[in-house]
Amino acid sequence: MKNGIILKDVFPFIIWFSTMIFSAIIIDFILHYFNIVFIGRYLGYLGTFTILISFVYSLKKRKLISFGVPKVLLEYHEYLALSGSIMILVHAGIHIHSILPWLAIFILTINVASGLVGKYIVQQAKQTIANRTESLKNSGLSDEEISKSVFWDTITMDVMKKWRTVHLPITYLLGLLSLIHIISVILFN
Amino acid sequence: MKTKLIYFVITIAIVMAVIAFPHKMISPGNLYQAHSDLNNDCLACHKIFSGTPNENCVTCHKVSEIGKKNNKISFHKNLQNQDCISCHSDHKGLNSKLALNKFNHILLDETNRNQCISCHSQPKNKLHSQVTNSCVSCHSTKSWTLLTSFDHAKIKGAIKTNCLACHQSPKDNLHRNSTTNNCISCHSLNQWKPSTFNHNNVFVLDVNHNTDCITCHTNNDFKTYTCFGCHEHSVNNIRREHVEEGISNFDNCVKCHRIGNEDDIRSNENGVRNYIKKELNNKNSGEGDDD
Repeated sequence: MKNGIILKDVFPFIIWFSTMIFSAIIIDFILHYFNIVFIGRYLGYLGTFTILISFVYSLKKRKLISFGVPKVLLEYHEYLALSGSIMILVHAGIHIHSILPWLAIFILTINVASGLVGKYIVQQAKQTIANRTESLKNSGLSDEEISKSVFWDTITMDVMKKWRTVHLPITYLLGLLSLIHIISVILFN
Repeated sequence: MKTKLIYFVITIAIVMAVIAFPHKMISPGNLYQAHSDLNNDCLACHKIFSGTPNENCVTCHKVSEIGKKNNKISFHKNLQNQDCISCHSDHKGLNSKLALNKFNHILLDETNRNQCISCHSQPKNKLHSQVTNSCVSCHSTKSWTLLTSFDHAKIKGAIKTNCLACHQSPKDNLHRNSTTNNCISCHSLNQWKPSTFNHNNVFVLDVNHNTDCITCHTNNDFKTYTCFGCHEHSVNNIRREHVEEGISNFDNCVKCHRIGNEDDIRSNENGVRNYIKKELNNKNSGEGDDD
């Protein structure tokens, strides 16, 4: 049972998180090897933009936009946020000399870890709701209606609410630190 | 409401910390030592939305005075575009050299760019006293030591054949005992390595003589050699074979044998014949004396 939890839940988390860290290290190594370190500067812009795009899901969840399929947008949110985080890590490198950027990078990694925990909770919820799907089918609802109903059920579960109370402040803090960094670059560069 | 208040307090706290301690919070690195008193005064060098204007630099650093104090090259006044940060950045640590980008000669105006000695002094060595002051014929503006290919034809006079006037003899065993200064016998003017020395001109290193140098050149002395360094040749069997031919002096093997084949003495056939003839005459006259 214990091994089952490690293989099913802990191992994928470590794989995803390690992928982010090692991808950043490898990209940074390639940039230094080919003497194209200046690209790292532009990865900061690209990474920020990528993460901002991933927030389309957050807008959808709060019903601020009407287009897009929630499930698909959530997948985009996961992959775009992770890709953007890798770019930001490469952008930062290890050449950080002051508190705010260190804090921003630390919060970024915490935020990714938090996101991966959220991803795990959603997967757990899907399993829980599978039985409910079966009963909805029996009640005569269409596939689309069942899909919508099941998805919102998943992410409005109590555990998701609790998780969100952690994930959102972390995201806010990351946004605030990034904004100060961007403003200071615009002001003084 | 409470959550929003917490967000607000955190935001204000971070923003205040950045404003109060910009050097600790957002500086991309330490300023170098002479600027360290400006650590928390960003606007001493930076201008909002305008980068780092030269006016802020020249307030303290007069362009015409740069380099004079430390007896360095005074070239700043000759720069076409006097944009300080194109060469000097900062925030790279306390050592000012870390904040210095590589000088690009294209920044100089054309007149000074073509007159190297207006900034650089000519080296005081034998080579440079013999050549013209056309530095770019040997050196580039990217690197002093980056020589494409030095043309020795540029050297005039007696120094042309005196390699050691410019080059140093290598300190290895091969060159240490060389007294000839005849570098050209082994090295070309185009490149030092590989040398043009061909051992086959002295002795052919065939399959039976493919061995370490020290087997023949004991003590790493390449001016002498011995053929008795291997099991094949012993003093006794060499003496026996030569005495049979009437040869008593066999100290200098390569005088006759330029290759491992003992029957092949063609490389110096006339010399060998004369040598044998002389040896036989000496022997005969010696025998006559006995009579």
